[in-house]
Amino acid sequence: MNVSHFLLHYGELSTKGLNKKAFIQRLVQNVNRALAGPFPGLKARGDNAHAYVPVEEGTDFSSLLLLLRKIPGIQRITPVLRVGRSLEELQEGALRAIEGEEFSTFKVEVRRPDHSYPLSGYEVARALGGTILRARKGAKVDVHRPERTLLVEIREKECFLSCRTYKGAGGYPVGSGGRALMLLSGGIDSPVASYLLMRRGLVLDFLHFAAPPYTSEAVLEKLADILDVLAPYQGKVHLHVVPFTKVQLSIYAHAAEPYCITLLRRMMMRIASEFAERRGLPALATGESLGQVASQTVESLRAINEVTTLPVLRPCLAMDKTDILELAKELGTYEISIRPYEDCCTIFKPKKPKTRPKRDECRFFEGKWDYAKEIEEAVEGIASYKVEEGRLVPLRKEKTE
Amino acid sequence: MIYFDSAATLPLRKEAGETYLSESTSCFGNANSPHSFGRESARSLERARKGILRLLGIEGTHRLLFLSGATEANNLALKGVARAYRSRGGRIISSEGEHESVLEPLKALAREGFDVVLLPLDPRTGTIRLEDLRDALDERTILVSLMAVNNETGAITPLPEVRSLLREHPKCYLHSDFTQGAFKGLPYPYGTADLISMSAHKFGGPKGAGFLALRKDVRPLPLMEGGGQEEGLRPGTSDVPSALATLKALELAKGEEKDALRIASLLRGRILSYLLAHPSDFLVNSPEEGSPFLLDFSLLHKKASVVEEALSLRGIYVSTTSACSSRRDLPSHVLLAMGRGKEEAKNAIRLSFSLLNQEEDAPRFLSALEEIMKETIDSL
Repeated sequence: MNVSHFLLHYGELSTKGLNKKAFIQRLVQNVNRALAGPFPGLKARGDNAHAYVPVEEGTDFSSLLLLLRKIPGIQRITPVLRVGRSLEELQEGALRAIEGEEFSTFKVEVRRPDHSYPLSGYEVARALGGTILRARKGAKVDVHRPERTLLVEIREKECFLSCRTYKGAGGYPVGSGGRALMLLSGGIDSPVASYLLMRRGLVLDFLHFAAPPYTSEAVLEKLADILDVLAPYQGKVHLHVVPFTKVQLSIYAHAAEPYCITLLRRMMMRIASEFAERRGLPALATGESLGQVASQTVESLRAINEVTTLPVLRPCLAMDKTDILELAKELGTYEISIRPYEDCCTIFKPKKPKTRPKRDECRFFEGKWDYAKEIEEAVEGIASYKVEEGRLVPLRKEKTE
Repeated sequence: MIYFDSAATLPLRKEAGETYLSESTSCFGNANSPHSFGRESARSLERARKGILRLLGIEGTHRLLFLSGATEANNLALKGVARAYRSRGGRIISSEGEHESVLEPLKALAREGFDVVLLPLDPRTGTIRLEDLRDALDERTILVSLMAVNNETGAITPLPEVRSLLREHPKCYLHSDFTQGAFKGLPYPYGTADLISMSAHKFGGPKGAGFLALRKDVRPLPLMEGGGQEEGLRPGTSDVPSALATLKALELAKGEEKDALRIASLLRGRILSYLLAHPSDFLVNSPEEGSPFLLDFSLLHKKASVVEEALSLRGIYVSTTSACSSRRDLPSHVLLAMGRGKEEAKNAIRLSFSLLNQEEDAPRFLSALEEIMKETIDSL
């Protein structure tokens, strides 16, 4: 069909009442940020009912659609043709709208948000149906199960014609729901978890645990690439890298091997909590998925959660690995995540990790050395970066409170 | 910084860079253009061709094709010769320790129906056993491909002995990848092989340049069709500046051969004796009589990636396997072919030397290694 605009439907925003305006503003801002790179000529605007992206001649519709479908806060995306309000303009528009569309049965559906329009919906549908029947020899009207529906929306100043609509990402515009600190390993799950949280409106800061020389500096390049994929959804992305080697070696020096992973996670949570508190971030988030590995049993989660009072958001918790993989592929993070660099969890992987760790055992091992000092050092040593075009640019160390 | 990864690549030599720049900005004519400006480029190209053949001492017997590097040279040598001489027979003999740019084309040829035989490596010498080759050779064999110097261990293939085995098979060609053997003190002449692959950046020439030298009677089939350049075997506008820069770099490499040998032998000797003195930590994979420019050893209790990273953080650059495959988490196929275990093959470090190094690099490297061996925990 001929397309003049992509119409973006707000969906869940309809329950937002007084905040609605702010949500819409945020969404339009997010869409424009995502468009800025690949579609520099396009700019979205929004009103109470919809947001629109006017498209230009030569715009690659399928890439545009693919991009819009990933942006949180959009329920549906409808490519539309905007025409004038006269019946002649509608008739001429109807033919342009079905250009290139293959169908043998169709119907015309009319909506009249502008109730003052002089013709009834039935009259408009009849007129446009006739126009299409005359132009398409052999096409038939079928109001029950049509192959194609031409939707006509008559508004106060204009009309929109469309014949398809696509599902959007749903959720809320990123930035409408506050902030959280995401623990990012570089694996497959955490980028997916990040996206799912962004889809609920959160803006994320990212925390990575590095254990040089056991982990490679090349992991940071991998993280930069992952964050480059996620960046269009929220704009500015900051990565904070924790020097974790000392803590990790202490764990292996003092704890029984099966407990190492649980202790590792507890130390990570302590560092993350402390950093989040200093930054005023009210929640932590991880890519953990229940039952996937030893540290992801409910007993394990209990032992891990014990060390923090912050809520720990785990959007992948109840997801199947296959669904996580699928989403990672759709997002474009999968291919990056499977690059073979070791992260701090894989390098010291115990042969038999404890699947039901006991909290008093954890405390017993943790009593063997002064971990608080090491944690303090690790938090102090965090290096922060911003991600720019797939590169990590060091940020000057900010004053933390 | 200590650069112990010269087998991966070297910087472009300054003089080669100057040659490249001046040729590409002033004498930029297309070597195929009929006018005198173009003909001047054509003459430069032939000058580069002859110059390289002369440096290698094979101008009487071989001709030369300018290509994009040793990978292309190996592909053209193997696929080109195999497909051209298929009527003579379908057997090709090579070794399990060859570079991927030989092994992968051989896999492709096997899929085309060729009988590809890969000989194992002797654990002590790191190269093939001559009796294995003798047993594998038959009247259907059209090509033997064996690298001059192994890019991981530095093991040297005894090409003159291979040549004498081939005397009974006059219709079988010998191809040899000399990527790690360009003016590296090899004990035999380049002309021992009928087809010779080389990569320019390994001796300080430009990246993306290399060549295949081939005996005058060898007529491979091309891999691409086009405008007929390089005898129709490598069509595409000739890269004259790159050819001249390659010649320049090779000239300089030849002039420096003795100095490079001296420093490489010295470094390798010092580090080797340290490794041999610590047999509970290291297993040396390079054969005693291998190329002085390469030294490969396995870590018996550490992960190679950890030690490599720790060295890198200290500004010492080494390789875990060959640079071409290090992004994949695989054991070295060369070490597996030598009968090493999987863990040994996974946890190998390769050092390679050049005139970028100094004598002090050996003690500095060894003290860093010693520190790292103490500081890092053993792999679980």
